[in-house]
Amino acid sequence: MKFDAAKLAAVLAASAAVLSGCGRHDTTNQNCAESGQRRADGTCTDGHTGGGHGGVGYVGGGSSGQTADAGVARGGFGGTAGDGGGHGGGAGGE
Amino acid sequence: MQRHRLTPRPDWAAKVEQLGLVWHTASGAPYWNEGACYSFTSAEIDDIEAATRTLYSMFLEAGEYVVKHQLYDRFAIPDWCQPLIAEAWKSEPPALNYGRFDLGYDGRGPPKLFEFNCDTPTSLLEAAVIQWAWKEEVFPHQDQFNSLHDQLVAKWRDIGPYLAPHTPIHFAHARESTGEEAVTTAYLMDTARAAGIATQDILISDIGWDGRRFVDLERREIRTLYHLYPWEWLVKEPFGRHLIDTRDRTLWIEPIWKMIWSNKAILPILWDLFPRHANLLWATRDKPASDSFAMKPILAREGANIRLVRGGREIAAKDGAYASAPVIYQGLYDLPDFEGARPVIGSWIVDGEPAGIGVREDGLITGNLARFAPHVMG
Repeated sequence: MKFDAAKLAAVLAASAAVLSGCGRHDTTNQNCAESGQRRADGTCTDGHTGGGHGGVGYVGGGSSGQTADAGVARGGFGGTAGDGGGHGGGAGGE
Repeated sequence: MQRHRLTPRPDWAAKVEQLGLVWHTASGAPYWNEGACYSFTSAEIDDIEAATRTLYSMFLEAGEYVVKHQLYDRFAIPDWCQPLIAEAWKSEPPALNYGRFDLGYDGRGPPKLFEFNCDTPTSLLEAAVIQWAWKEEVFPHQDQFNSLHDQLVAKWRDIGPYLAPHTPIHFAHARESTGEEAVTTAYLMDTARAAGIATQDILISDIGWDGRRFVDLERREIRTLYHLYPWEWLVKEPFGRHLIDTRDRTLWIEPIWKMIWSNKAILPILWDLFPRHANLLWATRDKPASDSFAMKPILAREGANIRLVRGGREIAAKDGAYASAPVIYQGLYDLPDFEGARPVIGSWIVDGEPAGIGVREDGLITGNLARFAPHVMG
């Protein structure tokens, strides 16, 4: 095993940084501006993913459907993804 | 190979969350299951390691065979993708070339291949980081078969000089609510940064097309793109055809030829090329003469739409979205039964080098509610 303590510490620091922006389940709607903005998949209709997001922002702030901003089309990928509701490949992993 | 019952650390949830595993619980039950662990002897790990290395060599031959004989129809790969796949297979663009062989293993017979998850493999953070940190705290004097993190960093370092200079690698994943794919992608970004490579995250749906280039939200051209998003989805979506236009501009990690290896249609080809190999279960495209088999869609995920039939009688089945997909048939394997927990070995490989294992336990079919249990060796 070559994974030493120093390397582990580096990973932990990086993971903690990610955690500040991602992932916790929010069952209180506190991260949606209005409870009615919560979608069934836990995201909010303003584009933020519920639960502690807004820090690093790896999850939130995405577009949905195809949109264009001054000559740039977006949303042409990602339309197949569905939230698996479990783990081990919910939206795209296997 | 043994399973041991343990008392979880009182603050286990906070500890694994701190390391990024925010999806540690699913449907009210722990996904990260440190209420048990598996132990392997050195000889057993040697068996798994050797099988992993052997299987990788067999996949190389099978991939070559598919490209040479243009067997893409068996994989339901669109016609327009086929030249891209052949070109990428032959030119070997820079890639992590990592993946997870799912193996049946009971410590007595040889490991048997179920499938190779090498396009968008998950359970990566659990295998590389979480179980290692658990071992360091709970069994500090024992070892673990796990060099995954080091090998990923080393591979980034290896391919770094061949990537487009002066621009970050973009890391894309789909939006989903558990945080699993965001954090798994973030972890891979971390391994790239550890190799000195600049990174930029982006949602797959935020990738833009400006008429001739893929661009990020800042309208910077995306020159190298890691994607935790399946190839078979990418090529069917509106921007898919732009892959042709940008074949010389944007490098995709992993490469499009992973559409061959990650597809279960490869299994009957492996069996044809290596009949009765000790690490394979028989596999066929046509309904077998045997009345005992596993029927699997060629592209399903998380155990979806798998049927297990023994003696002509269905013993397990899972619903899913792949009911209309082409299927293959594979020999049944009796997973070991530890008080109802049936473990599957996820054996990781990075560019041909075995890199460690993760163990997931479930019932007869390993699905999206399987639990990850850590392991020790020696």
